Amino acid sequence: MGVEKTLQNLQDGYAHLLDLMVVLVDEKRLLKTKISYPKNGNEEFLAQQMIASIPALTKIKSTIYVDVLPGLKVLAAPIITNSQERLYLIGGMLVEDEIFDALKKYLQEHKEGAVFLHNLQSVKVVSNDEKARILATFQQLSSSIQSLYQNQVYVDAFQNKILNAKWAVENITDERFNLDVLIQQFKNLNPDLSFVGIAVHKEEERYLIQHFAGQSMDRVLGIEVALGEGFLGQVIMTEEYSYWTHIQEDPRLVTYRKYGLSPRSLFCQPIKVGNQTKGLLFGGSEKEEELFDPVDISILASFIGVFMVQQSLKESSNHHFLQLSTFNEIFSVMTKVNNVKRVLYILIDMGMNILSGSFASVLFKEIQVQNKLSLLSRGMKNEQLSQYGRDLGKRHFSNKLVEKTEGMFHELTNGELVYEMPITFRSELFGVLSIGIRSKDEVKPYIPFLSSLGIAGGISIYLLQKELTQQSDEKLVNLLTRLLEKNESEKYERSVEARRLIAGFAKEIGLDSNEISALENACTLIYYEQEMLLDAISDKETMELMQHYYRAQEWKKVKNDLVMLLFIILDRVGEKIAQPIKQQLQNDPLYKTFVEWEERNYMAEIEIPFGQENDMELGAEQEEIKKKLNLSNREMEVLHQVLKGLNNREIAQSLFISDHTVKNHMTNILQKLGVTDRSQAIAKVYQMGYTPQ
Amino acid sequence: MLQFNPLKVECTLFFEENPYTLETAEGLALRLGRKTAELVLILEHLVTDSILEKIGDGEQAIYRYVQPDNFQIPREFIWE
Repeated sequence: MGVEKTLQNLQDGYAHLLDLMVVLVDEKRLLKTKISYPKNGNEEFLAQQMIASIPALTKIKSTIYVDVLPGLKVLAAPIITNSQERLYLIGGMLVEDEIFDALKKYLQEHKEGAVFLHNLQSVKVVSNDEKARILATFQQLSSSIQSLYQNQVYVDAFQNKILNAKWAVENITDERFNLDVLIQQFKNLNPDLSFVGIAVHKEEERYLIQHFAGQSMDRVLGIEVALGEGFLGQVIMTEEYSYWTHIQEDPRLVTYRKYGLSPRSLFCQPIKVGNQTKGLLFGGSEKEEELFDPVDISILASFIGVFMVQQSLKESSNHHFLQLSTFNEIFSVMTKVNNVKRVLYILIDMGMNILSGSFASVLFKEIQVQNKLSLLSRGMKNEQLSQYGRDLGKRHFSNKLVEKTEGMFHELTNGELVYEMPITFRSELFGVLSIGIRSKDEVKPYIPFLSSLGIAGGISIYLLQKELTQQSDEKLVNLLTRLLEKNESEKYERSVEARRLIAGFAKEIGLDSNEISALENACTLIYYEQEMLLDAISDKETMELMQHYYRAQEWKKVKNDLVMLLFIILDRVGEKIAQPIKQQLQNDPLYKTFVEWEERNYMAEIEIPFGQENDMELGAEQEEIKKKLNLSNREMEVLHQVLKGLNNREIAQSLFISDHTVKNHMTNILQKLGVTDRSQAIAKVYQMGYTPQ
Repeated sequence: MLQFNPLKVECTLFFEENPYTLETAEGLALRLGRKTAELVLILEHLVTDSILEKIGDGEQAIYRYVQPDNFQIPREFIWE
């Protein structure tokens, strides 16, 4: 039900109760309600006359009787509406019983009285007591109407706040919405406020005014609020809502006047997020005793807190996205440059870029130069370089194992701060990235990023070094295999056979390519001296395998599964094995697995020729060529695959051996055939009458 | 907030990937698909950081990558 309908009902009810016409009019005497008539009357013309005849209506300040003609009275009471409009409640008409006759005579004698005389039966005749009671009741009616309007003021204000809150919540995710818009809206809703502002927490105890609605905005923005000082500084300390009135004489106001603000009352509310004060919401009014609504202010401060959290999450998400895409770009270039030093240059330059460092350097161990560390540096003075490099080396390279992979802060002798980030991968330390910084706080947000960069650098260097060591080891093993073939043909044969068995059996038991490669290398390397090899081999897996192998030879005991496999194979190809080891390996479950695998494999080999009569003849041809050319069994198998048109990779796959081994065999075959390439080899074998099926 | 300028990173990475490049700001802008004006500021920063060297002045100035200094530390100093 709206206020108008309630008002009309109230007015109708009282008109019946008082037995009087009652109506509400504005200052221009226009009707604001329908006229309420007494029980027995309905004289609209009379009511209009009554309203028109009230003298000086706008001067009426309280509920009173007014004479419209001498002795003829109406009741009038002023009412203020929710929109601050001034209305008048009119009730009438009545006359005191003791002057009724005198009134009648007056009406008869005066022209302006004619209309009232004609409707005299509608004029209520009252005693003095009744007149007083009617005034009191009419007073009640005017108070009720006034309350009705007053309540409507609260309802309107409440609805306004709800609408405003709804608007703010709906717009929080809108790009155009910001705290300036919000406080301007709040100021518009509270017209008595001459300014509203927000001081935002920066670092430690510093708060800066960053949002302001009101005069002198340009001068106020950027002002710092200090802890404990002035009105606002006090709120930072107490962390509680405060307000001040009658402050025009307060000495603390001098600063405000300097910036063109002269509030007479002021409020300040801390903006809390969790248990931290993220900002201050403040406002001022030129009224001496402005009634600030602490609930409204607190709701606004909470909303600002929510908005700040949302903004900070958004910024943080953007920041992380930026870091991630930058990291991707950096890592991508690291994998492209194909050179360890260039990977290190990237780390140095990115360190300087990201932390705006005064200098950046990388201390790293060079793979080719065993007894040296190198320090690559940008921005550090030469005299500092040597001392810092040695100190850094002692702190990070004196232990072989990497204990810490996180970065750490270090203070140089001249007081400069350095952030030192190990470049690691798989517990191996490749180097240390050092960046000259201004403060620890500057680095903290970037520590996860720098750690990732350190690991990315580690991975890139690991891969490049692995590629390099594999290439150099492959050359070395190749050379040693050829030497073996030339000088120790029996050992060479055993080595070739061992490789063949390893390639097949290793796949059967699921060894990875690094382990297979190490075992294949070992098939050649075991024929050479330990002292000669360990300095020359760079591949980690091969080196470790050979160390375990030599140790097992020395202790007559095998403590490593890969070495156990190596001994099983070496035993199988007829290599002489120390008795305790031989005993140990025959008791090992791996030995049984190997024997079973080999039997299956042998069965498979002898099953193929079954039922194929021509193969017997082929076998004879093969034997003849093998004998003529002095080819090994394996070389014969490789040749057979070459004649079938297979390339090296396909041959490696079909015979379960590595590409590298196929290449070795091919070199030998071409040499023995006295030709320089595969096509000549094929032609020569065909000339000799060999046709593969 | 610290400086974390994506364009600066992009520009540095370009020179690290192409360390023998000699190029004007305009040429680089063309290669990176950026505006010359914004690139010039970044290049000046990189010159200040000694990551790049500037040869000549004005629009014809050429930028090139400068490798960090290399200093050898004998290992015995570390494991003495």
